[in-house]
Amino acid sequence: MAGVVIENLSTKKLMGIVVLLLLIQIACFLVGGLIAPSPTSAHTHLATKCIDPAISLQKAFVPHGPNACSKVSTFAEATEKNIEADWIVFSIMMPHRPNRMDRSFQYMLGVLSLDIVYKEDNEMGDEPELTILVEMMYNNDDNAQGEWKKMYSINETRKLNCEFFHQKSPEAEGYSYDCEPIPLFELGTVHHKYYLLNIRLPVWEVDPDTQEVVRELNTNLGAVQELSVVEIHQNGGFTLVWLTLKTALFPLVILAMIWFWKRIVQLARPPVLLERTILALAITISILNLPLEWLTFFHDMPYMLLLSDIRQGACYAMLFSFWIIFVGEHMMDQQERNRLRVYWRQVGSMTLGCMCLFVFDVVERGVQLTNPFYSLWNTETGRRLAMIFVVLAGICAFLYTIFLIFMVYGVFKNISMKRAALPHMVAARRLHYEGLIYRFRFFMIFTLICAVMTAIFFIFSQINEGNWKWGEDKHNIQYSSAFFTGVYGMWNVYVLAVLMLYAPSHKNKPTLQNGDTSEGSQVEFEMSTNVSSTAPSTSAALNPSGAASQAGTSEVYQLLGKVAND
Amino acid sequence: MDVFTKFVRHLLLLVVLLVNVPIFQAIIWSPASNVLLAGSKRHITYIDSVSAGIQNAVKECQFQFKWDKWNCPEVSVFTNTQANVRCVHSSHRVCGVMYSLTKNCSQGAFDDCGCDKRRNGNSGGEGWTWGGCSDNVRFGERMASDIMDDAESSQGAISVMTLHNNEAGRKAVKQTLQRTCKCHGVSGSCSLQTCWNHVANFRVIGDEIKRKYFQAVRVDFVRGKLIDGNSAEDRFPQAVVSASHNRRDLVFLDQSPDYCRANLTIGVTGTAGRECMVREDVTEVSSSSSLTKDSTSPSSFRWVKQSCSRLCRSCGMVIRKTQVIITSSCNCNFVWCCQVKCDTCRRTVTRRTCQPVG
Repeated sequence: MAGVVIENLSTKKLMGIVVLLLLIQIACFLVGGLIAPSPTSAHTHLATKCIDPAISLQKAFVPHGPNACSKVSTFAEATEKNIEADWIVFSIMMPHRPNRMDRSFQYMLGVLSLDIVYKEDNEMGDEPELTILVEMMYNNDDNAQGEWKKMYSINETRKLNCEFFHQKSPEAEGYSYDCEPIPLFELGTVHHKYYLLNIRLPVWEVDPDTQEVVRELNTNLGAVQELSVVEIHQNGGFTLVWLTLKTALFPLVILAMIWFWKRIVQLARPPVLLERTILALAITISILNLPLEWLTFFHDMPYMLLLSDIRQGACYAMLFSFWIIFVGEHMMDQQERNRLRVYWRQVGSMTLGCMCLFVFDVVERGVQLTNPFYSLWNTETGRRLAMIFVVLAGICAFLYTIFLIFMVYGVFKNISMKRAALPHMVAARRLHYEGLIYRFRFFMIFTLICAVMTAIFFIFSQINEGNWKWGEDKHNIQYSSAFFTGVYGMWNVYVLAVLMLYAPSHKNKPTLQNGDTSEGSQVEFEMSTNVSSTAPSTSAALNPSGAASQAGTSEVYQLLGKVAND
Repeated sequence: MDVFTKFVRHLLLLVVLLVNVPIFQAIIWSPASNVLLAGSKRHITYIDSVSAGIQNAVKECQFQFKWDKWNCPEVSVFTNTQANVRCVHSSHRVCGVMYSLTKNCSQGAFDDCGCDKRRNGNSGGEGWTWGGCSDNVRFGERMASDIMDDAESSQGAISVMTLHNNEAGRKAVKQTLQRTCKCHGVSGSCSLQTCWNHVANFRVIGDEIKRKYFQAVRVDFVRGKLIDGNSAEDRFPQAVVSASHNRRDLVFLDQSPDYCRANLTIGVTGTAGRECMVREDVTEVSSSSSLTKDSTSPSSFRWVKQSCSRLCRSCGMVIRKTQVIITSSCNCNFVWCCQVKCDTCRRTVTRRTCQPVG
């Protein structure tokens, strides 16, 4: 892969490409920051306390409207009316009136939180467990008039993590426990107009066969005052902007990819590892770009969330592999490369890490297809399993980073060595190494900028979201959205740039025709003498393989051809 | 203050009082009640919420001032005192209303609060689908401001002061807001997180207002503006002084009246007959360690144990000691709600009250 576009490009043309890519990049940021709303929005739903003396699990209890249930406003009122705990149905209708859900919301999460106040005679017990019976229903009629259709009926037990920050004394009555919100459900699709949650906190566990009480439930929760569910979904505006962006980027990358591959095919040698890697990278990002999500507007596709995660994960994995291979192929240490096997340690660790996350994701999101209330984190074993996955993935990521840093360090060491030797080299060799160094430098700087930008934008958007300031919406810039569209655009631009700039150059095409297949015997002598004179440590000149990479013996031959051509 | 506002304020008082009496609740919903709230029909939807909020506020106020000379008596809710206690009233009230509106909004009680029209241009459909809705707290704040500030439409000193304290009250709710975030990126990572605010427990808001009360600033009303008190003989130029109370502070116009003697026209019930505590009571009731050290808190050890000397002795009254037998439920067995199985326990306690001499 000697003589790629970037080496032979005039500064003017290079600047042209850079400006073009920069414009795409800026456009991506602006679209996210100025047009799109924030990526997600959260809506708090305080449950209405409906009364169901019949304990009929079949009925739908609607908080308001013409079919509203009979309700109490506080539990003190319930106690006065001799209402029992298992008659209470917490009813939540989503969304709030007069809105309706939209298919563009893509997914919907629910987070449950309980308001429990301290009462001296009704303290929260140790390690309280919350058992809930949840009925999830939907309705597609206008104004939710018609019958509610059942979606899920689930019995869940969750651990309640609460703390009390005051001294427990009679004076502290009325202060709330500080409870961690409990993840309740994750729906991968928002296909219906209205959703209804009916949540019960049963007090007995009854054996279904004998109808006998097995044990008491929800006994040590303390004095529950309110139950609320925070519903989170992706904003419709963000979905539209996001999908439009994907739709626009998809053909761009596809076109660049076709152009790149045409150039490779035109060569009279089989494509080298790096070229194949670049192609694979372009393919994975194209799969990610493919705006499949448009289909969710017509079909109920709960697996879209899983699919997006897998596509995104594959893209990360490919990007990480690409970095390793790119750095490796620019090692300039005359070692045999050009085979994936050489990078087994690096790519292996990365693949293992990604597989861990993949398995974790498939289990989590996969089970959620049938039970959206499921989460690996809910049970003790599940949590342990999930931790193992995450820790393994973390270790792999750490190993990968070490490998990458080590390799980059190696390249820079070689570069400085070659640099010192450059003046003594033959013109052809000098040009070759200068080309390599330039190519690598450009790539490193470009990658580094992208990675640093991603990190900066990520931190910025996190801080912006986490440290929220009150005030009127003076700033209309959506930082989080700008982060997502900007970073997404950036990595697309990155792939576009790699496709365009690292494609084989036409300018030395004639010599490349026989360059790669040759065993390099003609130049071997010349090269070995050169190497021994400049870098005594490199003994790979006798390397018999004649690798087609830039580090092989054929390089010099190609370069000679290239120089002659120039 | 113009006549109309005064009329409305009285009606508002009527509403609050009526709500407390169940018999009159039906009357409130008569069409005539449309005019009750600040004369604007658009707020009638929130009448329940507003009155519940005010009740809540009065209860909290009474809890917070249980051991103070002025104990937030119900008669004072709408009396025209200009003293420092009034600032507590207005801010408690506005907090209660804001709190209540926010809560009811999250319950889906109102048709129009889910989506803030101002933010999305148009309500419901488009704006909601495109960018979701704004915070319920924001709605609560705006409505509380609309409703409670509407009642103060005059340019008089009291109105200006009340408006200021209303704002301070709303700020207190916002200062105590809690923010929670949820991560839901790829594989549940934090690459994507969504955060939301929820109002703190009302007790926490009450604490905040009590804290503000202790730091309340006395002001004078000059040319339609509030400037820091005692400015006539002040050594500082007014411009500098007026900067020292900010929008978060509670302000008051007059020096406090004598809270020892009852004066119902200004809403003071006096301390005669009030219960109080001395050191030994406090240690008896709750092991002394359980009281907080924070001197502004209503449960402050120092504040409670000094209550007899504050309420009785400093008012020239004597402390009367009585032994009373109280019956209370104990050894209760609770489920998370409603069902209670308790024993009845009796115990003798020493109760101290203030008694006028002679």
